[in-house]
Amino acid sequence: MVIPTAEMQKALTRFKDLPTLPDVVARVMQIVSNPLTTAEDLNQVISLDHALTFKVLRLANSAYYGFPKEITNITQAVTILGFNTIRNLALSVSVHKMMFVEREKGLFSYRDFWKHCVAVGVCARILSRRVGYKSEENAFTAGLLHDIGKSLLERVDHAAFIACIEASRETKRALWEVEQERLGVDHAALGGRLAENWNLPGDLRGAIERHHLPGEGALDPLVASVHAADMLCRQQSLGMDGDFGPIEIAPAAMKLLRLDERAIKEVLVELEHRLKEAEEFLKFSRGA
Amino acid sequence: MADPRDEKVSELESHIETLEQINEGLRQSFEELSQLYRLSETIASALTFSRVLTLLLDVLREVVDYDAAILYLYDERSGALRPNLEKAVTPELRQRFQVQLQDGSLVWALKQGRTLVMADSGQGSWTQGVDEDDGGRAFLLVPILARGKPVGLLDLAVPSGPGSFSQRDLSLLGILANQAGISLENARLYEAVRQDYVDVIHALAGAVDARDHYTREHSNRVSLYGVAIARRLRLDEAFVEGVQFGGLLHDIGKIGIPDMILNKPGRLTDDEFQVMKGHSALGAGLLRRVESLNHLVPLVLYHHERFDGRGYPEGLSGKKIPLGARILNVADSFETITSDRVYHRARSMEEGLAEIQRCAGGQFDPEIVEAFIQCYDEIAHLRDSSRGGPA
Repeated sequence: MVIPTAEMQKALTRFKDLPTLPDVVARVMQIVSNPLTTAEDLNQVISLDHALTFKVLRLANSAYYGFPKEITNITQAVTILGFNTIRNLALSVSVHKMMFVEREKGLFSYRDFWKHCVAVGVCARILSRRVGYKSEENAFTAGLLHDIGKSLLERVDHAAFIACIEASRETKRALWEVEQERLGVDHAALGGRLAENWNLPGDLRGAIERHHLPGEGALDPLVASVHAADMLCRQQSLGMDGDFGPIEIAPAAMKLLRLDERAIKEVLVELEHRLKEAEEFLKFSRGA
Repeated sequence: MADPRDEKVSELESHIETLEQINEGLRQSFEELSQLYRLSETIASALTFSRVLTLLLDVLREVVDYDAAILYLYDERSGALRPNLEKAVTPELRQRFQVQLQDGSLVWALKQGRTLVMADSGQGSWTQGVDEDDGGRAFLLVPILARGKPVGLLDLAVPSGPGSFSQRDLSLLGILANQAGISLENARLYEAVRQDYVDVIHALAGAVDARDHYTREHSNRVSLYGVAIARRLRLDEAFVEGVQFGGLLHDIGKIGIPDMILNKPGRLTDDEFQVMKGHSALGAGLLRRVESLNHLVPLVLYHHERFDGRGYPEGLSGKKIPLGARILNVADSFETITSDRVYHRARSMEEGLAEIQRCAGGQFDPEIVEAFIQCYDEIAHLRDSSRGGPA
């Protein structure tokens, strides 16, 4: 966890009315953390929300998971794709609806932004899988949600956020640095706040909070994967996240993820292929 | 107005209740951990590949009450799963198992590396009758991995609905399957090392036979005959194996005998014979230096001792000569009599048998001669089938 400075604390008070997760999803987060929960228990909670059920099933049946037969109900989805996957899908669907849906006006394209987030998720999953990380599913979700703090910034003060993006473009400095300077807080810290409020699992919260690799601290494969995926997707111009700072994967992350030029090429080839399979996640933004 | 003490009491009561729940949870966790530990230990105790697989099926029965099971092994080259073991598979169930193999579910599960539950693909659509209904039947697909690589997959038919398994049930299965994966990897390594050991022994035996032109296949035959006799005496498998390897290596000391003596045409002088007699001690000296061959030293050192005490190197007699060496002495003598040598032509099997019988109580232990006679037919057969083998 990143300890906020006094200044940041003060700035954070501007964001004290954080959006809350829908009851169904909050309940999902809670029951999946209990090891005695069964697929049927989870089914009973998710099925209360028909729209959510429909979207989760559509994603579960997408090429991204590639299960050879049709999955027709939540119980099946849980027993086949796993408890974590379904929890993460429910979470992603809800967070997208709350935080990524395009608004009428604005200079920030939520469509391109979501595209960036999906690409980072897919890429983080590939990277974490290569080093045998215990939950590649969480890497995917951490990637999807890593920039959630930007949505919050944009929603709270659109003009200020756009000004930060402009400043980043002009000075070629990292967006988070500019945010800290101008707003006293950056999107990673805000994202961490949201994650805390939503009771997200600790590893997801850590990845959201630390994806720029601030400070020394021990590096874990999930944080490193999201960080490297963020850089690779920006370099490949997959989507747009408003950041014009330097693109460089931290050496510690390169080492932990066993990346070199050749490995990166392999990852990018796989990314291109897997992104096609992840098409269903992009459809979110077309009001599906 | 409510008495504040009543509130305190009820608050305390609710605390106690919570504590009791936590305690019960901990007790259950402890019991499960103990069970898991015990089952893991059981699986880890298996040394051979097939034993690990058999134990895994037995052990899982304590965790899930399955009706039938098929264990598949993953073939890395073809990427296919092949059935290796099965338990209680009825013709009706076999069809269901078959469907999962064919429709790609099993390979998909293996790729996920995570235990998953499938609804019964029985009559009609596979999705029927599984919804909120907890009855019926399901299949648990448990991948077996070793260091993250697929080794196999366990398909279990269980008599409960797919939605009724908790995360803990599934992770318990996964942990045991992973333990089995590690054990399988160990068994594979153990079996490979073991094969290396046997190969090295054969190579060493071959080195002697290659130098001594008249003794091609000699060591191998002595080993085979010795094993036949040892089995007839109902000795345990470890002992029989000692005789097998001792037989292969009994003449290893001949590596240190000069060529002009070892391959001399005609009879050896007394001095030359003294040198030749040194081969058993030489061989024992070589084996003493190899930890894993140490147990063969007595067999090699004493294989020329005679029951009547007139052998070498120490002139031991009767039961003072180690049993393995007494067995090898009979096997070695019979093989030599019935093969061409520098100093004699091969005699017939019957002549060989007669010679062995004649020397019972003299050169040979009568009990071993008795066992030899009992398995003579088998040995004669071994002699025929190993004739003309490669040097």
